[in-house]
Amino acid sequence: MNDHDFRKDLIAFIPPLRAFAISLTGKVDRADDLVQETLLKAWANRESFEPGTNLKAWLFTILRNEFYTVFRKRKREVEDADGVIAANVGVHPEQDSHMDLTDMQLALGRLPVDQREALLLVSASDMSYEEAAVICGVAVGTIKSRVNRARARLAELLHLREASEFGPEPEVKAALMPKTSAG
Amino acid sequence: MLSENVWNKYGCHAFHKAEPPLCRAAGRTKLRIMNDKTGKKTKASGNQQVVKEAVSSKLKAYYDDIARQEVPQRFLDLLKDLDKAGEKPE
Repeated sequence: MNDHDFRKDLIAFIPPLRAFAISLTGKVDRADDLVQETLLKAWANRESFEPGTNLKAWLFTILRNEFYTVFRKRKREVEDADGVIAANVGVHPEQDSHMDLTDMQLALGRLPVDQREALLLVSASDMSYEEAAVICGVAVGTIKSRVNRARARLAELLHLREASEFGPEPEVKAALMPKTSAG
Repeated sequence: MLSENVWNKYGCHAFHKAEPPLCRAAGRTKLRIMNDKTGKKTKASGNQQVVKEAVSSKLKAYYDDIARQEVPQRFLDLLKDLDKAGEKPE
């Protein structure tokens, strides 16, 4: 593959890379730094990429590795996995078009980072469980269980569990529940 | 009225003998609770599927919204520069 073709392919994968990075970090500026590093590394190592193999998975692996390098460097930001920094998520004006985007960003920020990345790869980036397992360097079963746990937690955080039940609304349910302690 | 001794000797036994329907009723209630639990489990797994799909579709909508954004110019410039730098001068 010549450099021009490689460049074209890289450009085509920038949107999914950005979506993954923004969802993973919860911050657009940090995500764009990650994407930039990914592009630089991919370009520097373009000779090692075998044409015809999975360029998307290759790029996602680079971005993920870069994310963890930065993540480990900034020890304080480990808290981000628990949503502390995610509460201060920087949002582009065009992303703030409806409430769900912010809700989703906040909810993703509250997921443990290993569950978040598994869910993003499989449910949002259309990666197979096998591809996600290779990217994360874990067993397929581990990815499946992380995705399941992430989905369940996200459903709780977005209040989808109650909304999908055929019973009374959460507020009604709360009113019907006997109080466990007085005062 | 039973004397204390008689109660201690027979009371407990007598109660159980005298009230077998209560014990049976308690047994039936237990069974009914178990059946309810089984019923809820079946309903829950159907509900889980609905929740799973709802989460996935919301996440996908959020993700695709970001992916539809225009590629920032800085990335296009960066790749252009890298490509240019890789060209061998004549």
